[in-house]
Amino acid sequence: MSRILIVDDDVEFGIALSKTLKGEGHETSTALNTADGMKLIRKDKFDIVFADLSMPGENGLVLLERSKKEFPDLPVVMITAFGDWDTYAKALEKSASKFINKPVKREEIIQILKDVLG
Amino acid sequence: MISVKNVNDLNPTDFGFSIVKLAAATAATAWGIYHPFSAHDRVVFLWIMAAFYAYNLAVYLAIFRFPDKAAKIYLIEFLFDLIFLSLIVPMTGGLNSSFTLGYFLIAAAQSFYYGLAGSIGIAIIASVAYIFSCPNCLYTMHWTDLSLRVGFLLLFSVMMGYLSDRERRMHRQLVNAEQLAAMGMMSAQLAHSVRNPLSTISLSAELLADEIKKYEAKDTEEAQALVKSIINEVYRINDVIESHLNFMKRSKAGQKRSDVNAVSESLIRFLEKEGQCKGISFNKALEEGLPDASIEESRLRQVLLNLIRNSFEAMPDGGRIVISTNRRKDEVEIAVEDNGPGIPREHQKRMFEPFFTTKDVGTGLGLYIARDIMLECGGGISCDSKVGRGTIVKLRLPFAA
Repeated sequence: MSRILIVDDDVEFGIALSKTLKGEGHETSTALNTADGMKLIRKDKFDIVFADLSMPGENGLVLLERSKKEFPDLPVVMITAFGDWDTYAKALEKSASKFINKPVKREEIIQILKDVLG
Repeated sequence: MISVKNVNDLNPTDFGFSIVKLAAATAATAWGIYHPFSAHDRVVFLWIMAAFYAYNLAVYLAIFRFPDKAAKIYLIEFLFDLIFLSLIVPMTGGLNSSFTLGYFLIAAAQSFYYGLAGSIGIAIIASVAYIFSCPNCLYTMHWTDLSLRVGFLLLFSVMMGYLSDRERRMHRQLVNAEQLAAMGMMSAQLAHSVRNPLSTISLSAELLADEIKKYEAKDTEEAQALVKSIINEVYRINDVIESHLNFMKRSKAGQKRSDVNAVSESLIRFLEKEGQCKGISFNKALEEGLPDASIEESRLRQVLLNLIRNSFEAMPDGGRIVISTNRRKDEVEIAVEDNGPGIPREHQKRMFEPFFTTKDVGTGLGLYIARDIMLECGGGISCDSKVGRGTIVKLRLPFAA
């Protein structure tokens, strides 16, 4: 069992992802924005973070940057709604552990958990 | 921000034509008043001019009332203008009449309107009218003079037609680039907002499938089939979005080779007027003899348009934009520099991120797409900005093979 943080401004998606992860036997917390997400990261110990790339105000990349600075070992998985993510991902520093494209498939999430957490 | 204008909508041209016509008619009337004439001839001439004014008033009222029928109205106008001129020329001195220059004026205006293809026909009709406006002169004037005059009229028309075509083609390309840019942004934004709920639907359907499995298998066959169909359809919607985005990309593909100086110059010409209205001047420093860059023209235009539009929006009170091109080792560098307020350091880091914007109306996709295109072409984009001094964005592109 792992402790997982979900940061996404889309409440419905947060609930669906949270239920999916709980169904796999994990424990989840959710935050709706980067600031709240960082508060939870500092407070609790998480094994992995799922963060949406585009959120109003400080987006997922800001969260990625801050959490890498404070907790370099915490894996962060970026969720994006860009099918054409590759070129952008290449341009980024490769600090995110993984990217998943929306719409998210359950098998993909399970695979990523396996890859990242071992 | 994006002006999508119909290329056929030539209202400024119509307006310009009406002014030219009025000036020509005024000049002709003044000639009629002051030219040494017999009293009878003067009265006839001025009556013809009065008719000319009345008919033109009708023509332009019709054009401004029915702009979509302008092409047909101009054709009628062309024929009537020739008839009027052919009435005036014989009574003012035949082929020696100063009014014969009017054939050039009419042919030029109409060739400009109908382009290269129309200009040849226009020149031929105008030449015929020119010759027949004074049938007697056919015997008094040597054929070499007549041929030379007709030849010059033809060349003059064709040249006008060619220039007009070129102008229109350039304008259309730029309008296309703006439309493509707008559509690209809309597609990306639409894809993004649709994929969010799709994610929720597909994950929820998978959870629902789990719930159903808890019941007796024989009672849930139908329910399982339904859930499966929901999940399949979600991926079908996603495929539709995906193929649309791919189509947007492919439709931009053409020959991967651009003359960066030519593209820069045509863009400056296109945006100069708009800049003037906003108090923004353009300067260029283009290095001569640059090799072609490895990028499709339409995409380079799209990127440069995005950058220049950004500069425009950064300088609402006017300023200066410098576009320069340089050779850097085995790459072409194109720089767009403005003397606007500059970009704060914390924004510079994020300016290429999708959906990052500081404008009230802005998609936050302009620079993201610009960067995307540059990377795809094997080039790059970078920005250097100082608050209070201005911003310079540099594009790097490899030479075309």
